[in-house]
Amino acid sequence: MKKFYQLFFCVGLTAFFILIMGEPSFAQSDEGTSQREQRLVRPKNTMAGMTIGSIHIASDRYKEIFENPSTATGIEASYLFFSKSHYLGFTFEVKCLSQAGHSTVTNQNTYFSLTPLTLTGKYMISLSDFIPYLGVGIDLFFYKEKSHLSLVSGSTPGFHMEGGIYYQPPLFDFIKIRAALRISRAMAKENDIKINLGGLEFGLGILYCFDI
Amino acid sequence: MRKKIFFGFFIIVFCFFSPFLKGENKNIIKGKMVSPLMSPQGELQFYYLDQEKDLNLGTLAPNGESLVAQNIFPCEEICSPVIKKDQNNRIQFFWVTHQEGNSEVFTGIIEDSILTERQIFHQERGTIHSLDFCLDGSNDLWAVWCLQAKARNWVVVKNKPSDQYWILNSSDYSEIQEPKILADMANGIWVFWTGIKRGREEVFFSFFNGYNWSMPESINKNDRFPHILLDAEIGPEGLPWLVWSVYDGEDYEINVCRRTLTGWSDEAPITDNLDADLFPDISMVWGHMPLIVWSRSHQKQNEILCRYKQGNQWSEEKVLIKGGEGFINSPKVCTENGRIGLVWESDRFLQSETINFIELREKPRTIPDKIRKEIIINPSLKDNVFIGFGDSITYGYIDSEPDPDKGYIPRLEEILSSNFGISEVVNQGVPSEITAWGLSRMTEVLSEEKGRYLLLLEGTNDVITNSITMDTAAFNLREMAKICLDFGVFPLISTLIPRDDVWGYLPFFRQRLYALNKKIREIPAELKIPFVDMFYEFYSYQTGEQDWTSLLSEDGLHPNELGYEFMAEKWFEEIEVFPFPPTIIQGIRVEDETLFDSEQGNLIQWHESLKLCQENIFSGYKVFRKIDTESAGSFQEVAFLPISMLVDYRRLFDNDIDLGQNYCYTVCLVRRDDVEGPCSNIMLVGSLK
Repeated sequence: MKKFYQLFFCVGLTAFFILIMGEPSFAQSDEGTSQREQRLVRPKNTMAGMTIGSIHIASDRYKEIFENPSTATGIEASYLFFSKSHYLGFTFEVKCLSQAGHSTVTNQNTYFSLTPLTLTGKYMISLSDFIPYLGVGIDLFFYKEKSHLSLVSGSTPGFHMEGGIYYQPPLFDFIKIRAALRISRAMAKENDIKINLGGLEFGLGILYCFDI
Repeated sequence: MRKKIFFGFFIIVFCFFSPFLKGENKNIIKGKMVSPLMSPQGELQFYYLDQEKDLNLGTLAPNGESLVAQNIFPCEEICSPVIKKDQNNRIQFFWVTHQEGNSEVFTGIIEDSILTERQIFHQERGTIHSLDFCLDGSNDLWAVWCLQAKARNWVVVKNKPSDQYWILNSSDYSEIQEPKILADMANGIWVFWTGIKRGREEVFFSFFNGYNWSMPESINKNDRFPHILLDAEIGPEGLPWLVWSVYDGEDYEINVCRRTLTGWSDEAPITDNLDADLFPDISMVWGHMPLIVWSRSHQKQNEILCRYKQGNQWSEEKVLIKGGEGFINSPKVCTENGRIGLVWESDRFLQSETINFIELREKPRTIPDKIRKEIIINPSLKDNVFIGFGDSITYGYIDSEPDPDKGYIPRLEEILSSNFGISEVVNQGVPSEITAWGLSRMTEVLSEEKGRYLLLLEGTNDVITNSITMDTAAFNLREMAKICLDFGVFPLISTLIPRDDVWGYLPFFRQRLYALNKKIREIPAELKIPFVDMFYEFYSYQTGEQDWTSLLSEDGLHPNELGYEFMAEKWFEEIEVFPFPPTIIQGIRVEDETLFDSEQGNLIQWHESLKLCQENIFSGYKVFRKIDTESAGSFQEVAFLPISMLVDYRRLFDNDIDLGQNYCYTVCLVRRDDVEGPCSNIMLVGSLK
């Protein structure tokens, strides 16, 4: 149910952007091909938007205690540097994941939240409406677990690699939709227990593009 | 013709030799003993009531070889007969008769086997019982008895020449037993009895100094355990000596105590073992050497033992009589010029023996068995074995004849087998058993039979024995149930069934039955054990024209076949709702993990018994734990898990542990009425591997 609301929210947000920002684009539709070429040549240099991801945290222990995959929602902002059809960019992203699970034997409730801050450098190639990219980056994972045994919180650095694609819907050059697959690693250690909070993540995002 | 002659000859020969073939003892008489006396010629004379309630005199020759019985006089329903010699060596006879709510005490003198000078000593409205008398230095008669009237029991003393009459004490029904009266060397009169004041049955006395009776005081030091079966005699110092049986936490032992010029001596134990030592009787050999005789039951062997005190030293225990399986009740001893006469009752027969004190010294001594039987919590008991424990009603008597194949035992076994699969009900009924004997053999029975469940129905003989209070009988039953629980055996206790014989209609004994049943009803709640109110079930039986009496056989005491069938059904109705023990299937040391923390604990998991028929009558599971190296009695409750909380799993994670220790766990099911079932198998949980 929670996932449904998150998806609904993203779809709604996309529709909102389209409705608010779409009107000028419709007005310019008569200009035809020349404008499309212009878009290819020079997209907006800044993107900001919302993301939703499905994260498979790699730790076996995590899998035993919590439902996996987990859903994370967040926001991101990117800045692009252009060089013909090749771009370089970096993205800053904040996500939030919270989960309830049960201890392994007594089934007592335990609550876990994870807030990864990520900074990713990206290399993108513009292919018509699709812009595939590859990226690497660093992370800082903030975590907190509250259970009948203890309250544990802390942070740990990590790194990640990702690949994905931006999709620029025709007529809506201020919108991009992003799909990405990311693999990350971030080892947290508490009470002599090491947990890899990274894992495999599939994310979707909707981004508003503008120039600054 | 020749065949007939041969056959007739054979019958004559058989009849002649049959007593010898049966090994019949010629010193055996059927009847109920009154009193033994020794004649100056060394003959043992004992007066007894035969089956027709006639008073008879049995005389055993000094060599112990010929027993002569002669009828003294036919009695009309006499009770509490007592016979003693006065100072002129005349045989004084006291007895009581009851008619239409009145009691009459008679006295008479037996001369040349003829009762003379018969006269009424006292008349009273109510029931007089437990008569005793003595003669003081002036040969004046003093008598004591219990009067049961107006829902109370009174200790009454009367002096014949003065016709003075005193009430020493009063108590509830059945709570005063067997008063004894003695005259000391200074002509002081002592009365002793056992009764209940605050705790259990105690020994009380009152003393008459010629003007007043002292306030009743207890002689024993503690009132936690019953003091029963008192006997008293004037000792060599001219002051009273007392002996009684006292429960010591494991069984009944004999204690002795004497009056000195400064007060009562400390109670001295004469026995210390793991068998029931009961019915002590004291006599003075040559008037100055205390000789205590009592009976003991040990592993289906019953014997009479004695100890005597020479100087300041008590002798070793000596075996006077080695009996068989039949209980020895009330051995009575009398002495005359170093000759000892002994009479005892066993299986409704009277037996007698005489012995010289010199021979007594050469009798073998006994070695008291003081090795404690190991009491185990939850041994590997057989879950399909039920032990039927009790007296003749459990054994299976119909019309006072043994018929165990028609008792409730085989009937219940059949019902159990058809409902729970192959089951066994062990017959541990011992005819004529009183609760004190039952208490002494309980440990042995549990060790031998290894049954998981015990059905306890006993006390019928206590009701009519009239030598211990009903409080003590109930105490014995409670102790039996406790022993069961210590063994991990699950006792099911029952009230006594109503009786339709003469005892059932005499108000005194009927009241004793009611009193004992009332006390039995208190035991289940106290010990949290299941209970069948067999009295109520029988009493409320009504089918067509038939009422509860149709469940009893002709003797009015034992059930008939219909009664035993009914009894088996009632037992089963309760067994059906037993909280049968679960089975622990897993016990491991594990870690309960969250993402960043963990704790070690012992996880035990069990499943419920397949015999459970109804789930909604149970409240939850109790889990007990002990450290592996501790004794079996160290199990402590660590958790109660309500059934409502156990949805999918029957399990417990015990985290309150010392990680260096190994633990043993056991689980029991608890009924909503707080009855705790037997414990499951024991699961050892060790360190994490």
